[in-house]
Amino acid sequence: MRLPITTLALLAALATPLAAQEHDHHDDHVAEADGLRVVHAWTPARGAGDEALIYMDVENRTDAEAMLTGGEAMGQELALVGFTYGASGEVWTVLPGLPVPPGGEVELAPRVLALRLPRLAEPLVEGEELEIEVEFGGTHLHAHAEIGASSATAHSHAGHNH
Amino acid sequence: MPPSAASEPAGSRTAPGPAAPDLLVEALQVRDGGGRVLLAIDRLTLRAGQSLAVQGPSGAGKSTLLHVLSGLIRPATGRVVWGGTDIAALSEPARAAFRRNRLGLIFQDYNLFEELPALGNAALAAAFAPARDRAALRDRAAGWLDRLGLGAAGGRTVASFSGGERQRIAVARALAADPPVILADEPTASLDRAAADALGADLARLARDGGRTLVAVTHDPALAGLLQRRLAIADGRVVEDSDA
Amino acid sequence: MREIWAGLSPDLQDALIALALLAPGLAAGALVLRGLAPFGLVRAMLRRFAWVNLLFVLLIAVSVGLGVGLVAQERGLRQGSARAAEGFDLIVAAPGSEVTVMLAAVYLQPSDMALLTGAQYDEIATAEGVAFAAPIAFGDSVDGAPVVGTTPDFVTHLAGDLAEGSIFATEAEAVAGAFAPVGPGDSFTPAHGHGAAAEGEAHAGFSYTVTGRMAPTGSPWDRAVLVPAESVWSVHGLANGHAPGDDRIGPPYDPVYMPGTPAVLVRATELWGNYALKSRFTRSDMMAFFPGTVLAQLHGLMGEVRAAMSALATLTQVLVTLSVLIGLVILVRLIARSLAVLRALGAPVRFVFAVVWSYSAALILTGAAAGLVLGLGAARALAALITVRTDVLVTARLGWSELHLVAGFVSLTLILALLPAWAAIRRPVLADLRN
Repeated sequence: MRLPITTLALLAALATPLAAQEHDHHDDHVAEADGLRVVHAWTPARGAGDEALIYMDVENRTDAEAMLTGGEAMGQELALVGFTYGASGEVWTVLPGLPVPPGGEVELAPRVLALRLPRLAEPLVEGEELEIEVEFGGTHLHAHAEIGASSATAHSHAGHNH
Repeated sequence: MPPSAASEPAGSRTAPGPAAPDLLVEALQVRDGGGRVLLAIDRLTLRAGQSLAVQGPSGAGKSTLLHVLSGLIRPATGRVVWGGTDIAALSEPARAAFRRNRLGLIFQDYNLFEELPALGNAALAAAFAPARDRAALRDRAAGWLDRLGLGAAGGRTVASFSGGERQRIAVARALAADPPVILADEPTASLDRAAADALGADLARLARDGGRTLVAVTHDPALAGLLQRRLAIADGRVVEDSDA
Repeated sequence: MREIWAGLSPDLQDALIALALLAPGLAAGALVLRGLAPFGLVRAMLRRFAWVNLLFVLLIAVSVGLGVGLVAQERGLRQGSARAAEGFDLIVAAPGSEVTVMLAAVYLQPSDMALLTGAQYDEIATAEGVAFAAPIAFGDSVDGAPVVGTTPDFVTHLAGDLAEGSIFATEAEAVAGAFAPVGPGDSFTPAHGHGAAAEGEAHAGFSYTVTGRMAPTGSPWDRAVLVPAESVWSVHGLANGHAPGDDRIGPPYDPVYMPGTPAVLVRATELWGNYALKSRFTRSDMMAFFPGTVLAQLHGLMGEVRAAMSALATLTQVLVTLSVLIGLVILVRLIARSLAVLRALGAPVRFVFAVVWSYSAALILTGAAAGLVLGLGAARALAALITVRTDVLVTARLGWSELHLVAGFVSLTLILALLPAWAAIRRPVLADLRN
């Protein structure tokens, strides 16, 4: 049942003129510091004790390479993890860092890249927000991750331009 | 079929064991589901160690009497007192225990377990006896098979035996727990003459030598002739008693 | 508690779950059998109605086998298709459907695709952090097996050292997949296209000689024949990727003389490099994706199918459990006379109960064990068939989910077997004795 709805939503998003999607206000969906931006951070709802994977778009608007190294949330380290899939199933591997080229962007998305919180001390409730800190070497960037449905596959504003 | 000289195995009736109880049947009425009287006996007594042939036409109530005496049927009214215990008043588990410990049952068509060896059948009670009694039961069953001429064939499955041999396995089974009372329902009816005579002789001797009470329902005048007392039943009533 | 559980190894967790599932049935058995030894008698009774019992065991075995086979097969297929994609780190192609490109590049299911230009390829191949970028040029076939143009690097990357022979060094040489229809020493002329529409004469006058054979990879590439990308271009009358007079095989290609490629397999020098390269080449004129991600998404979608299949398997088990129950009640009638004899001889009710339960338990346990074997056999046969048809190496093995299914089934039926046992001791002794 989820498939046709997702497809419809996708078609609707594609059919909407780009201009209509543009927001000219600053909101919680964007966090910016020193030319580094974290947009549309989100995570699916999870119970206490579960691991949480946090997704976002990272933009580097500086003219130097930025190194995404991890972050912090709920007093715990967030590890940068990359996804692989093989006969042994889905595996997330910790990455030492990911360079974001000047003017470039990196998408942390389900089954590709994520910041991982190993064990939730308290549950992530849909509709609430999770405060996170995204680290680029010495630069720390505070952002709010939207908590979506446990089955969500994208940010609620995915496709909007900020 | 050569008649076997069944004599008492060591450690059996010849040694002082539980005495065969007297039987007292009083004011007995057995009814079927519709309330029809199947058997009515005002009073019947049997001395411990006495052997009794119950005779009569088919449907007269002979088997019903045997079932009442074994506690398989509960009478509508009256008492069935074996050695002071009224089994008509006992619960089902208590009646099962009574059959297990005090009665040896022999059926017309043997009712053996075809896929078990002769010894397995004779020692069937070992399967449900307390663990401490199992070895003794097996030993006694083997002893009886031996005395009934089947000692060497204890390992053969029942399917390979003749009718006479099967009934002797059934006799060994009835005696394995060393009961003071044997109830037999047409024990010779499925046997040829020679086998019937041999078995009858064995039964009579076992009862007499072991001091066991024996009640045998039978159409067989030869078997009846070997027993001490004869009871004739017709239409659910005692019509003749050789002791009376 | 939760922490202790989370600290256990997955195998231990699964084993404990299996035990927990079995526990109620085993506990029921322990209670029923406490102090009793009905086994010799039960064995004899089982032999007495051997054919009926065999039929009964078969019924249980087939149904358990069906459930086990279904679950094992589904997992085998999933793992097999995932294993086939393991060598394909990052694929860059012209914008379009990731699924289409994945099917073509990983599973060699041909389709019409837009090409990346020579300049685009050059940009990818020379980007920082790229260990190698192999063009994957398909479209030709031999005896129904795909002929794929690529680089020597890719051959080594896909299958490691060759099982025999050497890698192609000229445009007229080829390396055969482990199970390709041609082998070292063979010569062949590729047909243009695939299947019935393949044009056998299109490349007349050109032939490859097979110089080596790859080791098996468990993927459709095992049936393919790998040739230099240069020759695929040449055979189609295009420039061969190098300036005229340059006879080299393999990169670097000259962007001016490279006709383009439908897909490029990219391998990064660093662990994280693939992710950076994916971001880098995801743009309006090309797309970059991990086949593993696409496959995992597809498998994720199929998770609902999987759930439906599991539900179906469970439902089948429930139905079978019910039929087993009804069958046991009928079996009890078969053995009713034997039970009546036991009762007449004074066997305690508990013993008769234990006999009936053990009788049922023997059938259930034998059937379930046979079902496991049967299911594994069926799954293996089906896996072999799929491997032959698709060249995706599918191996079906018993996994914990099947064992859990069977453990649950066994436990439930062992408990339900208490019902016919209870019914058996309520039967009229005299009536059964006379029958």
